[in-house]
Amino acid sequence: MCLIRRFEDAVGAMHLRGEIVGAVHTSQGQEGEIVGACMALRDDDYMIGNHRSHGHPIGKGAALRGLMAELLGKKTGVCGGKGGSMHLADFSVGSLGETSIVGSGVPVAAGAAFGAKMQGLGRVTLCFFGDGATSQGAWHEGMNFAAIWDLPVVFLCENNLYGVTTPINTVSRVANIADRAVAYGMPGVIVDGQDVIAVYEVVGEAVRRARAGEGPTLVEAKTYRYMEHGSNMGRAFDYRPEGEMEHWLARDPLKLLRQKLLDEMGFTDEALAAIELAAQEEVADAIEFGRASAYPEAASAYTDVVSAVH
Amino acid sequence: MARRSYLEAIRDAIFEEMARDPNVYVIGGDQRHSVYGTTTGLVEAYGEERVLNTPIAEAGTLGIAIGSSMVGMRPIVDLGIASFIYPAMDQLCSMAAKTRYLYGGQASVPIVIRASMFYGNNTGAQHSDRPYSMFMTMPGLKIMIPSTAYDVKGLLKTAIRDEDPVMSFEDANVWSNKSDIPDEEYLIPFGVADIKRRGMHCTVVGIGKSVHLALEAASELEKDGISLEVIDPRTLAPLDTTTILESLAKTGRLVIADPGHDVCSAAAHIAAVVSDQGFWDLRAPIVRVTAPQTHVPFSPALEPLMYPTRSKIVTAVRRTLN
Amino acid sequence: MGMNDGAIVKWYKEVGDHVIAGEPLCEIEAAKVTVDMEVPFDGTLERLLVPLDEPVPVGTPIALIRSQRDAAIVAEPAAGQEVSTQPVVHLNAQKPQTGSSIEIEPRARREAKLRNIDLASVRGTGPKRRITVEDVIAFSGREQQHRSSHYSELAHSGMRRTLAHRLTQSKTEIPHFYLRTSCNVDLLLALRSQRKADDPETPISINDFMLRAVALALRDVPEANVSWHEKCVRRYEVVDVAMPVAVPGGVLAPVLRDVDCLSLKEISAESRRLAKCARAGQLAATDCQGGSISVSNLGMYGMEEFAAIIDPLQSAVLAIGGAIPKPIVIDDAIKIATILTATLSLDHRAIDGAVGAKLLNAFKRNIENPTILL
Repeated sequence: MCLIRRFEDAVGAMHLRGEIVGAVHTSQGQEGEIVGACMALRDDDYMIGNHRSHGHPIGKGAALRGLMAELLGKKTGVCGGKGGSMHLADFSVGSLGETSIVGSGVPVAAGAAFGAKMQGLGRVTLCFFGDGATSQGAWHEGMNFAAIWDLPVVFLCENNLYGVTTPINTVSRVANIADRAVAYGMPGVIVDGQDVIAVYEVVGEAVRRARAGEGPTLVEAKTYRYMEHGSNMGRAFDYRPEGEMEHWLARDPLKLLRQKLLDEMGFTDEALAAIELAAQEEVADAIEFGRASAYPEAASAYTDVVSAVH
Repeated sequence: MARRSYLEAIRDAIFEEMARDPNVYVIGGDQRHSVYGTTTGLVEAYGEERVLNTPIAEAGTLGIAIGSSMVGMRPIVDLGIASFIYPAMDQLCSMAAKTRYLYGGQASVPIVIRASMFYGNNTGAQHSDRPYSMFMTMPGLKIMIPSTAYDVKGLLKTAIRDEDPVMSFEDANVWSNKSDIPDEEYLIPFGVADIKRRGMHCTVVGIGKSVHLALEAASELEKDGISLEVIDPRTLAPLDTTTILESLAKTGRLVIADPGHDVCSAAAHIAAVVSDQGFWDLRAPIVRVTAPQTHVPFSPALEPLMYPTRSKIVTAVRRTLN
Repeated sequence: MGMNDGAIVKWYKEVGDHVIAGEPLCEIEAAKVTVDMEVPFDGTLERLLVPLDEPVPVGTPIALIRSQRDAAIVAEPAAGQEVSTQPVVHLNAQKPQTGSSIEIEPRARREAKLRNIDLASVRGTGPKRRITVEDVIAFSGREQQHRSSHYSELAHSGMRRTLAHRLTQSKTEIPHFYLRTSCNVDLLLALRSQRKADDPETPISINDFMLRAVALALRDVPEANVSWHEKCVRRYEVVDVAMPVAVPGGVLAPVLRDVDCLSLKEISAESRRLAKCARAGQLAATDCQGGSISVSNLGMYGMEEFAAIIDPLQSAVLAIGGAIPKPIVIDDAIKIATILTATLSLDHRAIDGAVGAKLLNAFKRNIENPTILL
C-alpha cells in the first residue's frame, strides 16, 4: 500500500509538472481494496483493470521501474511506451492489461477466466472496475456470461461513489452495486474497501469459490478517491458534499493498517518507518530509472499492429 | 478431389482445424444446431465444450473470445449477420484490434470473427449491411472476403491459424458456389489476390459476389472483342495492390465492383491507391460500381436496384473505353 | 453565356443502335465551341431529324429514341416544331467547355514525355478528340524521320547569306555541264622544282601555274571568254581570272586582272597578295568584281577531283584536284606519272561542248608543256 501511495503521489506531482503527459488517474485512498484483493490471488492468476490503472499492477507484483518508464513513454516501459498510463500491463505477473474504455474489461476478464477453465489451468481472473462501469452494456453481458458458464472470475467493483463528478446514486436505483449480482444469479458481497484485511478475506473467499469451480462473485468494495477523476482536473468541482473528504481521510487505509499493526501485531514505529522509507526509495529508484531510459525509436510506432510474422 | 459448396467448405475448414488444434473452439448464437450447415457434426466430433451457444450478447461474446484468446485459446466467433457486429464495436475496435499494440506486444488476440452478408434477400435495411470497408480503416484487424468455396476454405484455415483478429465476411449470395476442393490440405495466404480471369483491355476488381458478376460481364463483352481481366483481392486487409497495379500497367483501365456503399467503400480506397501509384498507366478514369448512398429498401421492386449487376459492370467497362 | 442554337456536327450513334442514358449521342457546335450531348434515356435510336452542320434553335427535335417500354409509334414532327412526346430528343442548351481542354490520357502524357514530344502538336483520335497513347506513338513514328536532338544554331553572317544566295541562284539558273581532263604534271612539277631552286625567294605554287595555264587557254579560245546576259553574250577582251580563297566563315573570290599578260612571278605575287588580303578581310569590293572564269583548287586538301559551281556573273569554273601518282599507259606500257584532274564546269547557254573541250584541251596542253607558261 505504501508503494502505491508513494507512487501515486509522485506520479500526480510529475503529471502536474508536465513530466508525465496525457491522462493520468491516481488512486490514493483506494490502496486498501487494491492490495487486499491482489494479495488473495496466486502469482499465476490473472488480473484485468481499468483506466485508474497504476495501483492494480503494483498490487499484482509488477516492478515499479517498468511501470514508471511506461508512464514516461520510454522504451523500457512495460508496453514499450506504446500504452501509457491508462494501458499498463505486465503479463509476467498475470496483469493482462488495464483498459481505458469503461466496462470493456469485464467481458474480456470473463473470457480470460473462460480460457483458463477450458484449458484446466486452475487460474482465477480478478476484474477491477469502478461504480460507473456498471451502467455500461458490456458490463452486464460480461456478468451474465460469467454466471451462466460458472466462470472462475471475481468481479471487484471499486465503488468510490463517483463516476468523474456524477454520484452513484443518481445513476443507479439500487443502493449497492452488489445488489445487482442477484440479477445474474451470482453472489454479491459488500466489504469495507479501506480495511485491507477485510478485503483480503472477502476476496479470498471469492477466489476460493472460483477456483473450486463454483462460479463468479461480485465483490463491492466501498472506498474513496482523494484526487479528482483525472490528476490535472484540479479542485474546480464542488460535487463532493461538505465534510465527506474529511470523513474518508479519517479512514485512510494506510492509517488504519498502521494503527492495527502497532496495536495488535506488535510492530514498532521504527519498523513501520523502515517500510515506508523502503517504499519511498523504491519509487525514487523507479523515477530515476524512468528518467534515464531512452525513448522508443520511431520505427516502433509501426510494430505490433499485427503479429511480426506478416 | 471433391465438389463442395461455399458453406460446406466453411464447415470443412472448421472441422479440420478443430481436429488439428484442441484450443480451437466455436462460439456464437445457435452453433450447436447448425442452421446453415457450417457447424454440422462439430458437437458430435468435439463435444459441447468446444461448440458453444451464447446469449444474444455480441459484445459479451466477443469479450469472451478475446479474453480466452489472450490466455491461449483460438475461438471462431460466429456473429451471424454482418449488421450484428455493431453491438460489439467497442470490443472489436478498442480491445481486439488494439490489445497487441497497447500492451507493447505482450498479448495476442488470435480470434476469427465470421459474419454473413445477407443482402438481396428482402430482409430490409438493418439486416443487409456490407460493412467491411468500415473495418479496413482500423489497424490491427485483418479482413477476408472470399468469393468461392475453394477460397473460403483456404483462407479460413489461414485465419484460424493466424495470431491476429481476422474478420471473415461471407457473402450469402455465393453460398451456393461450388468448387473442386483438393483432398490434400491447402492454405491460402492473406494479401494475395487471385486473377480469376486474364484479359487485355480493362481490369475489373470484384469483391464478394461481384467477382462472379464481373466474370459474367467478361463473357458478355467478349462477344464485342473486349477482354476483361478479373481480379479477386480475397483479403481487404492486408490488401494486394501490387497485383492490381500490375494488371493496370497492362490494361490501362480499372473498374471496381463492390457491393458496399459508395462513400469510403473498399472500391474508394483501391481507387485512391491506384490513382496515386498507377496514375501514369491510366487511359481513362477509374470507375466504381457500388451500392448507392441510401438504405436497402424492403420491397422486391426496389431492392434489386441497390447492388452491382452484370450490366452495370458492362456499362462501367464501356465507360472506360470511351 | 447562353446557347441559342447549335449544329450537329457528328452523330456518335446510328439509326437502329441501342442507346443508354448518359452516353454521348452527338457532337454539337455552338458559338465556335463543340460539346457532346448525352443520350437522355435508354432506348433504340429510331430516327435522326436534322441534317448535319445545320444550325437549329435550342428546343428543336433532333432525334427519336424509342424507349423499350413504349410500343406506340410516334408521329413525325416537322422540323423546327416543338413536340412534347416522350421519345423525342430535343437540342438542349449545353454548357460550353471552358478553355480548350482537350483530354489527354495519363498514359499518353507519359508516353509523350518519354519520347520528348510536345502534346500540342499531336492530333487526338479518341472520343472527344482525346489524345490516346496510340496517337502519341503514331506521331512519334512520323517525327523520327525529322528528328535531330543535338544541334546549335549559328546566325547567318552577311558572307554566308551572300554565298547562299549566289550559289542557289547559280545552280538554279545556269545549266551546268561538266568536262573533265587528266593532266600529266611530271614536267610541270620538275619545272616548279627548278624554279624554286633558281629563285627560292619567290616560289611558284601549282595554283600559279594553273592560273597562267587557264589564262593562256582563254586567250587561245576567246569564244570561251564570255558570260551570258539576258540580251546578249558578253565576250571579254581581257582575261581576268577569279581565285576563290577560303576565309574564316566562307569563301571570297578576288580577281586577278590580265592574267595572260602576267608572268608566273607576277601571278604568284598577286595571288599571294590577294589571298592575304582576303583572309585579313582587307579586300575592296572591286577586288571581287569581274572575271569570266574562276579557278578553284582543292588539291591541297587531297581532293582528287571535284566539280565547282559557276559564279552567276561568269560562265565557267575550273576545279583543280590534287597531283597524284597514278599508272598511265604510254606506248602500250604502264608507267607511273603524277596526274592532276581538272574539271571544267560550263554554262551551256554561253559555251557549247566543243568550245568547252577546246578550252580544256588548251589548258591541258599548257599544263603538260609547262615551258609555254614561262
